[in-house]
Amino acid sequence: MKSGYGLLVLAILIGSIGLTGCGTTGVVNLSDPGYTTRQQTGGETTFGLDYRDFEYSAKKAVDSFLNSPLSRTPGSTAPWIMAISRITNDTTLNIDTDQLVKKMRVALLNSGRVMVTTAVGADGPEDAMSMEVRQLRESDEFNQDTVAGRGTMIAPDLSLSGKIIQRVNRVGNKQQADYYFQLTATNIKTGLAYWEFEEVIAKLGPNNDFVW
Amino acid sequence: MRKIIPGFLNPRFCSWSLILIALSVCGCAGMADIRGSQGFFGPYAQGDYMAAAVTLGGDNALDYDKENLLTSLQVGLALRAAGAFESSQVAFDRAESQLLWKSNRINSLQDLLGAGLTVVGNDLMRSYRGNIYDGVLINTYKAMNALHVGDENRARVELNRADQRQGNAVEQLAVKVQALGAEDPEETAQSANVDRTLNDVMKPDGAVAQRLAAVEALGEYRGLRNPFTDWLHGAFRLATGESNRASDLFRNAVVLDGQRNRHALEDLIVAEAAAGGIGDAPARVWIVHEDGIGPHLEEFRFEFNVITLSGPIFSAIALPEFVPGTPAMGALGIRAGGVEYRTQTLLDVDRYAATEFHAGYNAIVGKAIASAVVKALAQVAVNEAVEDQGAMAKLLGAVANVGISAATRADTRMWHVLPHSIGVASLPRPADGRLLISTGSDAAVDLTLPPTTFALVTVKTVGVGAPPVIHVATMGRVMEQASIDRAPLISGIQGQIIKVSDAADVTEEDTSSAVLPNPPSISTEVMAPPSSGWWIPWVSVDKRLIRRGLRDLRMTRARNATGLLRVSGDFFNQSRRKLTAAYRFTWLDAAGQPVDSILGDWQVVHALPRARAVLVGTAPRDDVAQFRLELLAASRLN
Repeated sequence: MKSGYGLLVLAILIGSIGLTGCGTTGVVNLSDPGYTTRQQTGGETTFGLDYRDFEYSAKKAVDSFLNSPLSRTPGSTAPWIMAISRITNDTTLNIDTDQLVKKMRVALLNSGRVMVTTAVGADGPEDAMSMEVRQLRESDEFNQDTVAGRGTMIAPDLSLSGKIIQRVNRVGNKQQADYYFQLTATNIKTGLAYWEFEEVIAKLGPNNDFVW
Repeated sequence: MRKIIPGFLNPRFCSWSLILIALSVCGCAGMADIRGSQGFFGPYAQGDYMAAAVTLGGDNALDYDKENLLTSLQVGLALRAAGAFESSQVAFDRAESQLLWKSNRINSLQDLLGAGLTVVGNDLMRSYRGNIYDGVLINTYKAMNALHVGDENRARVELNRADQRQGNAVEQLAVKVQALGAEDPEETAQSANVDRTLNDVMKPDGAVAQRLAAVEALGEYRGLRNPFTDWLHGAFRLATGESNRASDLFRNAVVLDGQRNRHALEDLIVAEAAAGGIGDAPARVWIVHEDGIGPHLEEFRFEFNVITLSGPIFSAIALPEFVPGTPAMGALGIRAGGVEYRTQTLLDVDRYAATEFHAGYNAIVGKAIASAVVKALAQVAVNEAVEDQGAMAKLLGAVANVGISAATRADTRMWHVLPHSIGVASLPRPADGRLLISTGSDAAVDLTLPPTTFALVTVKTVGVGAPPVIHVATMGRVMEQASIDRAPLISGIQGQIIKVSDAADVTEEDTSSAVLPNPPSISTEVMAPPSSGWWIPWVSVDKRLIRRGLRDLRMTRARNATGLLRVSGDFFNQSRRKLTAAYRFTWLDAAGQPVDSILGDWQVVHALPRARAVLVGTAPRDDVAQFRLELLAASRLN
């Protein structure tokens, strides 16, 4: 009788250890081999996109750009001036695409190859102050030598646009969510795409609930 | 020694009695929902939408139990009609959070209830769980709310969700019907009795079969997919310049609708023309007309005899009866640019709701009959046990018998304030930007459109006495005056392209002949020094990796086409198992200081058994002169 209770306790203990050792979501990231090695804030892998996914995609994108032959302005050492156009979130998740773009901007700026203008953007300037301070030109209160003069802003050479697309497919009794990170840098003068990038992050997991 | 048990504690007697008493107390949550909806429905039907929302949600209309799905649905739609789009979005968010299940979660009726779907039948113990089509409509309404507040990104997300729900609906419905039809062991034990009673109840000329035939006559939407959601999604994609996708979605809507709606057909032609041409689709106006009040359920009581060993027992079940909705105006007349248009129905909500209702109804009736048979047999058992017991037992038995009749209440809850139908009209944007919308009874509404290439006008009419409510959402881009002036030249569905700028506007610089840039030469400069082991001082390798089979590490470095240092290497996995290595480059500037960059993050590489694997790193800056590389067993980072 006692040994029976002992076995029961042992089984419960093993069960508890087994449960704590497993992820509860059952979702795995198929694309980023280093996903689970990154520090985790939420702990679990989910069907959604988290900072690890954005970090992975941004790194791949920056690496791709810096290895592109057009990442340097032809015949010059001056950096490209880049405007951030629309990065469309075409998924079922409420995400801010700046989570991707900001990481790229930091790396590109530090590379010395690209500077981003905040005075021009697809939905208006990111920072309206550049234009606002020019309203001070008529003001006696300001030393006019310190007010930005006419013709001092620099127009962009490149425009960064893109899309994050999501496709969900059933795979047996599981579902797979594929996220396509697509980016393009367009030479504004010619309208030609100078750089193109695509990276896919695939996540496989239970087909119990919608992925959002 | 045999224990003496008081009669009313006899296990068999107690079991039957308690089952029946338990059955008798059901209905609390459901009845509260039904009573709440009754107070809500009065002002809603009069067109006083905010007052209706307040009856359920207090002064701010959102102060109610957040987990009450039915309240969220009713309040969400009322707030939307009242123009409180942000608050409506909150209510719909609450509703959506309870309708996320997919097919693999459901293996039984219990799973179905747990996942959050309503079983049409006696389910009043539980709060309302929603239908599959409710989920699609929630996201559709959320998309329209987002468009009304100018949040294009949110609208896109909601339309994508609605699209995924539509894609899953057929599978979900099959699983729901299967789960409803599953028998429980108690019912299986009485299967002969249940089948005999069911055959009797389902006679073709019987009351139940007649009601089922009436629902069948409403028709169905194949795959439980509604054409309006696809059409709205198509309109959105056309307005955002995605004409290929728009064309696919309009085609879906046209096929689902059976090509009855002329406006959806015209939209398909416009999208096809835009997809095959250059530039944006011509400016258009879409009118969405939500008309009347949608279908609802009423209780229908059905009486029959259950044959037992003690003779026939009179029994009754309560079933929900599907009652079609009522139209208000039917269709809208629109006058724009001197041309008359009329909206045409694209979604018949009766038919849409009936598709899901009908699919599960046979199983529901079967379950109700089986339940009634089991209860009748329980009643027989209780009555027999009571014969020889004391006063307490008789009291319990009486309560149990009362329970049988009290338990037969039908769950008649549904999202009742949906429209009876949703009609649409699609027309070229008139040059003067004005629409005259006639609802038939009142004076026509004169509407001036905002100066955008696309506009979505939603009109809601719930009844003849209730005033129509009109809201306008803008889509596409703001039109230049020149484009607006040229609009009449565009003949609706011909798909001509609006030229955004005049030739005179083009600057001299712009008109100069474009010269293709010469692609830069793609060459790399190999920097490997003569010594093959040049890299050894800069690379550290985890001993664990070597123990697990890492061999023959080789490194090269070069300047890429634009002069950045690029280091690559490879190694051989000698073992018969996959080897997973994590590696990280630390890039150093000329002063030997590390350069911070996401290009210096950990990466992971898998080497298959007895195969080589490659590592690559690119310096983040021109001034990087050197690097360090760490190679670890990936397990160390976990």
